[in-house]
Amino acid sequence: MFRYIVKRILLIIPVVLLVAVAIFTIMFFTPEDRASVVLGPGATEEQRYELRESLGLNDPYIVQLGNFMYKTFIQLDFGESYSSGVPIINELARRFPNTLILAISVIFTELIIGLPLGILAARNRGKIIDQICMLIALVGISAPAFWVGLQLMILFSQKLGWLPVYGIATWKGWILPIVATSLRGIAQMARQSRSSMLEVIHSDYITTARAQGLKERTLLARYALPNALIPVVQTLGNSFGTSLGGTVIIENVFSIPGVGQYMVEAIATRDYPVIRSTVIVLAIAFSIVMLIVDVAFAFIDPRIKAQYEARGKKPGSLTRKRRESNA
Amino acid sequence: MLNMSVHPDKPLAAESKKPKKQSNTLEILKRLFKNKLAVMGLVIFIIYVLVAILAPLLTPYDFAEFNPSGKNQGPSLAHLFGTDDFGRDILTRLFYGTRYSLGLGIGASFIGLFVGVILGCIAGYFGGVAEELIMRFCDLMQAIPSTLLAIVVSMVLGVGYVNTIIAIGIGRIPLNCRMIRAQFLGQRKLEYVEAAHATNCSKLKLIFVHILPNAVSPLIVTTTMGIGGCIMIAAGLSFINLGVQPPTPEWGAMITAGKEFIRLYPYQILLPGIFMAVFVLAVNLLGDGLRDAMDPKLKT
Repeated sequence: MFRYIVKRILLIIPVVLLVAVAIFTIMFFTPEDRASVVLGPGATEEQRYELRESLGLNDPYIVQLGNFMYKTFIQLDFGESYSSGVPIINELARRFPNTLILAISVIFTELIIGLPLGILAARNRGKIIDQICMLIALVGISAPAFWVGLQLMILFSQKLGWLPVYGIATWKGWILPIVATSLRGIAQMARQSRSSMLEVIHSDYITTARAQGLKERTLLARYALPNALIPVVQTLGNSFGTSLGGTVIIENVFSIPGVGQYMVEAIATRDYPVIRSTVIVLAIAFSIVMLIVDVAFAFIDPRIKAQYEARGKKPGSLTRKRRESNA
Repeated sequence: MLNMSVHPDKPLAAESKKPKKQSNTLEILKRLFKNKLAVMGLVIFIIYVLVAILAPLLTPYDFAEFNPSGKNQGPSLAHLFGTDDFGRDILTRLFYGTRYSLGLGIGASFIGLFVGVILGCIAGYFGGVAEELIMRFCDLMQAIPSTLLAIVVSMVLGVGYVNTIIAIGIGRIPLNCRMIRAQFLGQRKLEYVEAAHATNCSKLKLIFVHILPNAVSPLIVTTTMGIGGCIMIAAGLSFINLGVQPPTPEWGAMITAGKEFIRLYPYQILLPGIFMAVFVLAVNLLGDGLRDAMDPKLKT
């Protein structure tokens, strides 16, 4: 178990580095001249050349890449914004918590609402409740989050006046963005948990347990759910990726000062270092969450655990001791 | 072997097998048409395609013509869905938008399918270094959330219709590539591949004529559903001023244009959104139905 976790943590390092390289490379090929973005159309060719020189933009690709990687990952310096001159890392530090709060609340909302919906549908398979749940789920998958957000804004903020239109000055400001972003995930979660629950419910061991007279409640909660959760956890990881991408747009709908809003502002002003850094930060956050999901997976799925424990099964080995102390 | 071939039952069995294989597609279609929701999805899909083709016949207005005297009108008999800020009939723009949005969804979905299938075939058939490289490339692409990837790529390519299709299509490559590769790994060891090798069948023919048709069915579902997903990502891109630009009446661009007047004329964003959601819903219903029809075991 321990070995597995260490291995996964080590594996994430090349992924993160390669993601950074990939994003740097894609952005490197932007045809636009960055010096004219910064200086505006009035600058002379000489001024532009000097600026490019001072920003290191005249260097060959490989040198620029090396500098970028060194600065980003060794010095933790993301550079400065072209338009405001503020160090990007400061802005990110201020904004990232907001994005994280949004994304994590979205994940929890999805889990809290989607999972019970799916289980409810699975238990009442074929009945009207099942069909209603699945219809809700299908509709949830079909509407774009930012549009749902705008509609909610019209209804709850303008017509009813219950919630603020934008900003996160009070906790109420979070409600609409979270609801709008999580709708799609709730739907996916409900569909996934329904189908995996159904698969488990119809397996032989559950039939056996039922034949032995176990209470339906115990049966579902203790025997069926843990196995049904395995694919659900995977959905959860993926849906974190989707919601991180979704926050970029939702933050702009509700004016939440997060990383996504920073990114979109930067896209409007062609502020390349900011765009690059925001994408990398979100991609790293995604990788880390996938890591957590994988580790959680190992705890839920006994097969992965068994695989690793079988290998380390020497007397007195670390895994064994851990297992014994856990037992 | 010889005995078997002269066995009286054998030709019969072979005969009864052949039509059975042919009817496989038919069987799938039959199951599909039994599923009411899937049929509904299919019907809506066809209606949208017809609207896209027949747009000029369905409406007397022009989708791009400004009409300053009649702007921001509410729904009326002349303009069923009202007019927008430039006095353009919203329903007309939605009809023409079907062309752009459907084209975008289908185009992006097929770029992902096409490139993904080719890469997946190479990885799955040849294995070795090529497979390793392609699969690591897929890992890398999937480490970036798809919306982010689309944002970055469409930044680099620039805004516009075709560039948006490419930017969104790229994000779908790894998914298709992985699925095809997994299918190839399963098919590679089957007897018919061995037989093709034995008859000196060319690799190209083996991959594309013999193996691919057997490997492609799971992709039909993901590609169908992908059309809806691509349209939604495109709408999101339009919303942050990337992607398709006005005055192109892409649905997302229409919502974006309408958000300026959200307080005064909320229907300007309500209607395009509903128009889009109905289509995406139809595509999802169809995809769901296709999956159930192709693999009845999965139907739960």
